[in-house]
Amino acid sequence: MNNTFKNTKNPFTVPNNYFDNLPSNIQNKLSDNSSEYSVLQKIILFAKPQLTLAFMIIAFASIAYITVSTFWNKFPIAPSETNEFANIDDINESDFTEQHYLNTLLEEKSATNKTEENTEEYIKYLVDDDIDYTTLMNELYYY
Amino acid sequence: MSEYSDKELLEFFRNKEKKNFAFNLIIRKYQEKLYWHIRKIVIKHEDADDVIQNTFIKVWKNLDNFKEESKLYTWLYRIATNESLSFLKKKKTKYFLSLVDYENQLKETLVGDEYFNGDEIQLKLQKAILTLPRKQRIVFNMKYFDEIKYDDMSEILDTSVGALKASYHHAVKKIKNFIKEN
Repeated sequence: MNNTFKNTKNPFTVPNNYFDNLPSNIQNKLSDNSSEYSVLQKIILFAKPQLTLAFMIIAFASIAYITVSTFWNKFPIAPSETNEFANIDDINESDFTEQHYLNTLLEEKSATNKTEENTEEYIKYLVDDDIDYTTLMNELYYY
Repeated sequence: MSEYSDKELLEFFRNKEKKNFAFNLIIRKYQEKLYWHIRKIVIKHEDADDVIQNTFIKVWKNLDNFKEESKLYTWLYRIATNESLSFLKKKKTKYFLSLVDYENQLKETLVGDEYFNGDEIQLKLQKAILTLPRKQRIVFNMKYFDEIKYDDMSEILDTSVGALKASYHHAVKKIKNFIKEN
């Protein structure tokens, strides 16, 4: 580029004494900024106890909530047994006849008899095959 | 004007007792250079005044973290450039304008600006510069008016020297064309 415009003086100007006053203007702006900051600091200082209390309450509530929800999942309030009892309760006593009770007792007796029969069979087998106690224990616990 | 070197000024700044004194000296040493750099980007005096004050406030807040990996003056120019560009972006958003439109408006305000007393040729040159893309405009101003070395400019604008040379070359070409056509 040729130097048609080169070395021409700066076409822009500033107000009188602008550069003399600029450092103090900047310092003033800085102190304004820092005083704004101290107002903010004052607010924080004023609200600090309330904020701490609020934080503690929130923390306590969170811990309590987590603890309760953890135990709630581990130990359900209505276990299955209770449900079963509840189901039994739901059945009306008048629904049962005398025959029902007799059948139930007979079923229980036959189940007991079956167990006794099984026990006798086992003893008979052990005696017949001459299996001593040591052999039996070895068979039961080592395999 | 301050007789202290940048290194001395930084040492003073790190000393708590001399911090304010050092900052004042830094302002006095660099205020004019930075002001004219900013002024050529934002054009209006009132805007340049805002930007330079914000620039020095940023300098105050960040000078403790300045690692001296670059020169103090390139670091200051970098902050000033970024502040000026942020300012233009804010203006653009405020008035719902594209940056080009905003800079076109600036061309018109030059005529009535009480702090612009250039002659017809200078006015034409400033108008031509305002037609350039933003970065080319900054590169042209820094090279043509401030005569900043490409190496320093590279640090300030975080752009390679090659790209800056190309940018300046394009800018000169466009300005020549604008002057011929107008």
